[in-house]
Amino acid sequence: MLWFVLLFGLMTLVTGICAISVRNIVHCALFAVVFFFGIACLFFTLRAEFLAAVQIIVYIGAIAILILFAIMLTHDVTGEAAGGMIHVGGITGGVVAVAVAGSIMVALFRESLIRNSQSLVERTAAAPQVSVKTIGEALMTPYVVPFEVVSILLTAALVGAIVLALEQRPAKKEGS
Amino acid sequence: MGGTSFEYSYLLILVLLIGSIFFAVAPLVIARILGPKKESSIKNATYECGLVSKGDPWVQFKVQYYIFTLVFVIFDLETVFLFPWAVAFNALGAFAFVEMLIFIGILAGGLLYAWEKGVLEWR
Repeated sequence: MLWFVLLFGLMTLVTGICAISVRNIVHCALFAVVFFFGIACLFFTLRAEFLAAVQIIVYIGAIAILILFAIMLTHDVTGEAAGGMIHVGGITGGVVAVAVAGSIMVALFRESLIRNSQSLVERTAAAPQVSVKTIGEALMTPYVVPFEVVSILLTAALVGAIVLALEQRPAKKEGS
Repeated sequence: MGGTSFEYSYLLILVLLIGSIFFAVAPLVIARILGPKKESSIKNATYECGLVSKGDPWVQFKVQYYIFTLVFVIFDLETVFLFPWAVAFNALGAFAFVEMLIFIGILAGGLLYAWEKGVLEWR
């Protein structure tokens, strides 16, 4: 199991780096798909099967498609007109990334020291297993109201997206 | 840590995954090894159904495609909630069915709004 974690972790890391460093932006998006899949696999190894399924349905099924559509809609994303990669934020971004990774590491190791010698993998295995069925039952009985509110939220997002997108319609004439 | 029933239940998916990757990659590899390669400038030229291609292949698509995608994303998120509901359906009974009908009903209102605004029409 640990080998799977390492394998998927490596896969996620490599494809993540590829997704931000490859020159062709369509390839970047495709690498991002593999990256999302790697995250889903990591969720599986942590026994969070619902999260893994959500990761695949939402990130690969929807977000990746959204990114590809955004690329299709954008002018001059390839070739000379696209220009070079922006390096201005490189140092700041690097510092922030190291700080975030460092703080997560510190939190994890302190946690392990407090609960002495029990590794994260062992604790994950010992944790109560929440199946998709349990989530479904919880969603339908004690959490009915939040569940229905989610539907209203989604509808609001849909209506909001349409309003925002249609607002630009008159300004855009030469397209199509 | 040995394999438990949880790991074994997903072993099939892993086998399917490896099988599907093999099915995609194997023909490419076999074609590369066995296929004769005689390259010429005409052979390597871009073509569109036999015609000489005109203009830049990178055209900007209509913005309307993006609104379609946004609508799709919302209903994709609905699937996330349909999934645990469907798995637990047998244990829940009629009440859950009504709850899901309300859930889909509210979202259908959003779809009706999109329809009414002419987002679904092709222009």
